[in-house]
Amino acid sequence: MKYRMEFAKRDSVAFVSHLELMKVFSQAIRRAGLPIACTEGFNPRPKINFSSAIATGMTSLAECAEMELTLEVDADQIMERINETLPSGFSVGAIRQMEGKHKSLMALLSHSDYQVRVRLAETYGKAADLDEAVNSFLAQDSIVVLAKRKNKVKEKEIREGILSLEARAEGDFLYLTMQLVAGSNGNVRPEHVAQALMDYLSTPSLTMRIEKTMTYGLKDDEKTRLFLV
Amino acid sequence: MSKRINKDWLEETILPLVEKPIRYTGGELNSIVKDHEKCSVRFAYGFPDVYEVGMSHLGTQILYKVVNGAPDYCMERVFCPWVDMQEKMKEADIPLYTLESFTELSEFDFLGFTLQYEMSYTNILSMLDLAHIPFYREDRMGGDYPLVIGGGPCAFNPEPIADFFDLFLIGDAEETILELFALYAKSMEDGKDRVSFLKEACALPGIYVPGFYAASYSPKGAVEEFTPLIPEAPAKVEKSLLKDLETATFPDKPIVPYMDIIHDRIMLEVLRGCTHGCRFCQAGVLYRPVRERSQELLLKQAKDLMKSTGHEDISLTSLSTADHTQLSQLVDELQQTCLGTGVGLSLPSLRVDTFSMGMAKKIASVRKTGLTFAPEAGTQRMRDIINKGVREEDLMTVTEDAFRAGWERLKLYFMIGLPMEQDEDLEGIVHLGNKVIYLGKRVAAEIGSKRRISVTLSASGFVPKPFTPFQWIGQDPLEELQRKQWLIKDKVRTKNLVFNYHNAKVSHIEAAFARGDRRLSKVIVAAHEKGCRYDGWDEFFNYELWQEAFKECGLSSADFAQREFAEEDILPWDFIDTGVRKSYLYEEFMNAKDQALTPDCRDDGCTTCGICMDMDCEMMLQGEVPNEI
Repeated sequence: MKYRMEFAKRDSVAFVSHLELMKVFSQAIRRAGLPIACTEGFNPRPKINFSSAIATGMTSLAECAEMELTLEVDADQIMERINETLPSGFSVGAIRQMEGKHKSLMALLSHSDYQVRVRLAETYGKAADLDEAVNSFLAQDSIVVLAKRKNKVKEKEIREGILSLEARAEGDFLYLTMQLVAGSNGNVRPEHVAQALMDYLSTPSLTMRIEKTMTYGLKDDEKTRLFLV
Repeated sequence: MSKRINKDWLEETILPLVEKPIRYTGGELNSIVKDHEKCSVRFAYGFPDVYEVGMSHLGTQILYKVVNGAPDYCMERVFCPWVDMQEKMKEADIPLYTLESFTELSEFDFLGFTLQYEMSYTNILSMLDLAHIPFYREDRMGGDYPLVIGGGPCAFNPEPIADFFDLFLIGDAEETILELFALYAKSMEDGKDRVSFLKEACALPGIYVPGFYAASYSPKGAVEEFTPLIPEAPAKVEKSLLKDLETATFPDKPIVPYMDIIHDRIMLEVLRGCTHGCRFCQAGVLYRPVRERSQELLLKQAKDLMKSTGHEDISLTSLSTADHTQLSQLVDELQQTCLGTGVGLSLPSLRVDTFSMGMAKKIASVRKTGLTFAPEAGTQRMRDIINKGVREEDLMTVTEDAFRAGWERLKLYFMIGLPMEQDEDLEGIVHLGNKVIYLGKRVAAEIGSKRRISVTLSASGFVPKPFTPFQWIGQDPLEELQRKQWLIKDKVRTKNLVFNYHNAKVSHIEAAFARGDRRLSKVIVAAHEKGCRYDGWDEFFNYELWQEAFKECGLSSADFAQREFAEEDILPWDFIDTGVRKSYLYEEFMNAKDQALTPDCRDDGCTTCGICMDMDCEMMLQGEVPNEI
């Protein structure tokens, strides 16, 4: 029996890495006494899959995961039991039983929304012209960022992967809202977009906090909340 | 009012820049945060190693439950930050804080360090440094600092670090720590000062207040005198002993880290103590007598722990788990309980006998990991000297059994540099390894297995530890240990045989501190100032810096590591009473010289080590000792 859930990862557990996330969920499921299905072989692993490897340090309001149970359990009951046993910071907001065959969550994921709070070295001076500046940033044909992969730094073209971007200045902060391409078809990272914008605005930033607010997949070519795809 | 670190700020500015930030965020499942205002004693518990090592330690979880189980006390954890985090904390001037409430260490009533390993001493200084707390007790006098306390196995020779500490708790801490805190709470309520509290604390079992004793040394470094300075301080500090493990507090809801830690599993402490009497083994002396938990209680604890942790492994831990008189039944019942849950069992160490092998086979039906056996020495002569009652034919029987059951990778653990060791004993290690390989190949051919047989020989340099029959002798000189490693390495010529050895320089420094005295505290400070830290980690251990530190202090590590004592000498740790008599240890030393075996008191009656007589306690077994061990 397959179940899909949508969960949030808030506060300090942002620093739980993707590998550790797997452990957090399998332990919570065992504590809840849910009959989780395991892989065969010498080293059986619980059957749980996640939509994406969420970056360490990022919070998220809409991660998706699927798990397989050996028995049918009422979805609401699963949600109640698992929310009781998950460590604080994690919560499952929705769950549904899946019928028939479908692509993996990883393959379904197409876009994500993010909110980024950029702490600036000083108050942003040209707040009134910010919208215009963002528009001209987006009007560029090409936006190239330096992406680190292991120990190599590579140039990466990200313009096509930015579907929308809005900015708002408030005190020493810039608040960015963006929708980016996500998943296996060219993932664009929100910190790259934020950094490219800061560079474009010639505004030095100190730190940023990033939250993923929604994940999407395509259903009949329509962008749809991943949980429902 | 207490000084707290701004967690949001830390998470935004510092943690994204360090490796594995989850080490520093706390908030794990089952962690306990109490209101400091409502606590009469606030205890910061420091583990002088990195988070994933510290959180793997069962004693930490026990103490956490003991202290936080008391409504008026709180215990919060702090680990040694990894080197990248140490740098960031210094740059940003962030003082070291506890993971529960993010409170600065200087705000606590007590700051405790668990002393698991001599090579973590510099980390204690790193932590004090990050906490802005002076190293030396003398320099803290009059200041509003926490009382710095220590416990754990290395507290049995606390002298090398005595100058840093206000108080040590020697032996089982479960009961004494609560008595200590109750006394403190009352002293503070009565408006007494810390010195009078420390004086009164001397009356509690296992409490050593180093400031109340004076030690003097001869120019050659022998202890001339070790005397209490006040009448309250006992001449001998008797270890604190938890007599009944059955009724002892047990962590039924241990903290479950997010991180992958070293031992990421349920640790079920099935018994404490061991009386096999291996003459090199310090734990076998320190944790006497043997105290078993009953099968019923262990089963209940296992069930509770499965529910409260969600771990996928249960490890039956102790110094020698196969000794538990109800192990077979316990394993059966645990396997029943685990059926269909995906939870597996494991034994951390195996005795070299058929019973242990039977247990291993039973348990490995789920996961078949490698097997480790510890013959400890390569020849019968050497094994008799160390009283390791293992015969070559036992090892052959057991390893054959393992190969037949489908294991292909075995690890054999040895020590080199043992007393009275000759080159034949070292050659014997390789000889044993080759014999086991040969056996494995023969078995593989018989059962038609095509998989490759491999045997790993693992050897560590012997450290003659206090409170063992070998405490009177010195460690092999460093060059000799290295020569012995090369001798073995040179003799290993089969591809299937792998030889692993520990850095002999680490064993050398470890021995200097294990056998050291009060003159060493300044060496630790000098080493810290030169940048020594995480000395137990090969990538950070720097032998040259340690040598400079010793030299600067006018001392030599070899003098400490290699020093021999005579029977009549005062040993630096003589003032501590483990319950096992010094005269017994000396007899055992003589027996070693005669290659005379001393049986386990479980099988053949009392060997008069003294513990049960002198400390009014007894061995607590739950079942019958089987005839054949």
